[in-house]
Amino acid sequence: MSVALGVTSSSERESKLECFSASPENFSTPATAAIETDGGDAVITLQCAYGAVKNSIKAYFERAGGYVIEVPFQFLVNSSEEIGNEFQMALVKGKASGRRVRLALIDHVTSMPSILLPIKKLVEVCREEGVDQVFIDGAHGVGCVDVDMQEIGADFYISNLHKWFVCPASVAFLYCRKSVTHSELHHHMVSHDYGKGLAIESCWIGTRDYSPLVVPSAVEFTNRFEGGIDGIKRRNHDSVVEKGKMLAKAWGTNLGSPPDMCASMIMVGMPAYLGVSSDDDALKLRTHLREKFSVEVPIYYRMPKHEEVAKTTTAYARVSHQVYNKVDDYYKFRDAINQLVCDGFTCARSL
Amino acid sequence: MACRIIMFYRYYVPHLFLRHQNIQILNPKLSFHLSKASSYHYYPTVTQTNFPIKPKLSSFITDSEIQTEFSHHDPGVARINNGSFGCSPASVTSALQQWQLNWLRQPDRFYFNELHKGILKSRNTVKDLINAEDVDEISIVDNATTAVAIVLHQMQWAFSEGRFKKGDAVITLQYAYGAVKNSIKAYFERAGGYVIEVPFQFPVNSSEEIVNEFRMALVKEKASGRRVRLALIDHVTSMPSVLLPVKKLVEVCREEGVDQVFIDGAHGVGCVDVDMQEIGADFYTSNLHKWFFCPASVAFLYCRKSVTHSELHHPMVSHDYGKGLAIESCWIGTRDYSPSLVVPSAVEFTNRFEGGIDGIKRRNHDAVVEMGQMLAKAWGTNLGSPPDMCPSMIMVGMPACLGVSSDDDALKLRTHLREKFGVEVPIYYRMPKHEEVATATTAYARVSHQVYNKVDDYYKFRDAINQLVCDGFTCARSL
Repeated sequence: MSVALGVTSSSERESKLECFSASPENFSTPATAAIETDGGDAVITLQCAYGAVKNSIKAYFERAGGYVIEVPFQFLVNSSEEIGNEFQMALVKGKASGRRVRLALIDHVTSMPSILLPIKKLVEVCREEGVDQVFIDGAHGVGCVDVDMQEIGADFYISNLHKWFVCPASVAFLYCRKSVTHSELHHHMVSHDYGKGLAIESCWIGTRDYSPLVVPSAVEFTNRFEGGIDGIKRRNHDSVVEKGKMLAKAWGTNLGSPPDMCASMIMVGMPAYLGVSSDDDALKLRTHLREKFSVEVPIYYRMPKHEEVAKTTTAYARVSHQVYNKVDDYYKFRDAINQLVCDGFTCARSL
Repeated sequence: MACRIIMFYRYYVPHLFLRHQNIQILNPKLSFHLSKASSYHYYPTVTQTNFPIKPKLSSFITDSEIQTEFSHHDPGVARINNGSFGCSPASVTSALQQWQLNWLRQPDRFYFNELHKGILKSRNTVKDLINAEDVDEISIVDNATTAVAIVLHQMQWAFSEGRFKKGDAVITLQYAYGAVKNSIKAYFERAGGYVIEVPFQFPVNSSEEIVNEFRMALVKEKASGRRVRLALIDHVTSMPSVLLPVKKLVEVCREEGVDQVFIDGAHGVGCVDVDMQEIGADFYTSNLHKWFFCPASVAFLYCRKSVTHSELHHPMVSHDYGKGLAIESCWIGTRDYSPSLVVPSAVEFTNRFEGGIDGIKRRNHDAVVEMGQMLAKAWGTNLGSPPDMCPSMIMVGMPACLGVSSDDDALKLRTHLREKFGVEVPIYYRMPKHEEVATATTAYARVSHQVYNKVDDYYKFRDAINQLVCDGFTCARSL
């Protein structure tokens, strides 16, 4: 197993992508030939992939001549199976035109809206359908969900350790399965150890503060909890589901997915009366909650389908639970929203 | 007589309160003021008694305050290598910690309300420091390594997208930084580019010889029809360390039709004068954690606005991709941005010194030249370049009898000095030319001077080497 530990940010995943597409020689075709190829080798990703990752795909893969297959994704989510099916269909369709799928780039837990994806199943589908390599973006991985390289079976896996593994900003790792040929992986920031393998190159990328490498200290911390990090994960999950349900009940709304597709985060519908009708409204409402109610919670705007009724839920709060949280944090949020509804607040009128 | 006694005490006693003045009294040979921070201003006025009035203290940082600012440095070490990793005083690291605490306290609020404002303030500070025209020309990056990757990455795309053709060249000098040479290999050569490496003599006799070599190399390549896309030139080379005549080299590049010029000023700000209008390059990078008292790590990449460089991107692609490098660089994913935010605090720190950063540079230069000459004299060796080619670092020849005959020897000797003598100084191995005699100087120490240094640091180094020579130490036998 080859693990490169980096003090770079969550952009490690971008770094990995660049290693693929800026150096199409990886695929045994010279850079210029990749551009001349008709049809474009492809990357497959889901519609809900992280915005910065989509930018990275555009900046590296598409720019070099690659083609992007984006699998549509329903939110609200009813089950893992519907995601697995959409994914398989998109792959089969993509391949039908003779296209070669070089990479599948799949979140472990999506960001907004936040859903735990059935990645073991998706990796299997990729193998069945002949995708060259699979890269799981587990930005929310370690400390949030179970992360087992043998179980998951991907070629590449990235996780931040400063999100759910109590490390300070920032430290993450990129796992590269040893059995995979990836000799041309390089760190973007080329320094003295260029050519000695990504893991060594990543150890020194110029003068910077390397102290976020406190991973062993973070392990010590988690081991002070009953069940260690597994215990923490389990309790976070149970708590966040309980709180999510409490909020949905208090507001008369719904959850964004079944509880088993929530790790330590849950999407809770917000009252339609609030009139969130754009990403901008969602951001302004978030700011309003922060400044007027001291509640910090990101809000996702869900564009209604044309057939949905006017009162459909268009805003979902992504509520998290971590060991420092108290039930009062969630009551405060519940009460803030109730207050807004009571005051006749709408985004259009009040922000 | 009484009047004379009183005059004596009024004049001399104040000196005794300041250590730096003590050095002057006890070591009269020193002609500079180590870490001179305060000034005494005497205002002779005609009083009824014709005595000079009490000296008026200015408000500059005192020697004792300087020592307090750097009290976290290992006291047992003669730290004469500011060039490698720089330094950061307590008042700046305290500002850093405050930013970190603000982030930890409420990261979302920090992200939405404070981060971008803080980075913009740093960018404006840099713009003023380097006399850039527009803040849009300034991108904050981690270090010079990152800046080089950004520019070369753009060139890689130029090759793959057909704007450059195979064989188009980059020109660089022989003593370019090793990591930069790797970056050129990784991005430029790999994409099909050709590398012109201009040889230069070390020890160096004059700037002119460097300029001549550079121009000859350019002219030769042009004659063969090669297009030179980029000149990548150090402002101050690393090992061996020499101040290059960048303004002149930029002029030569323009005369000889080089497309773009990139000055690698890793040692730039706080070490040498850095003025974008004076230097005239298209790109300039400098670390601020080496000579500008910022903590690791913060640097900038300057991109002249008049240059077409719309395709410059940060390799870490995030939400602001496509909005220009300066904006892209403000957010490259979750990380600790506090080093980027303390640039104004570093300016405040330098302004506590007489003459600000210019005064610091000048005094560092004078001190390091004096110390270099002292060491060379003590060991019977030479300096690696004329003093005007040494800003705050100087290359001092080491006794040939130490027998440094490889890079490995140089590294081992450096380790030995650290572990046995508490002296931290990098050593450069210079391969002798075949015609040189067996006793040629093959090792040069790159000695730095920064505000926290004391003359004893250099005496310690002098004495350590004298001890090794006395003990008959040689690398071959003793390491």
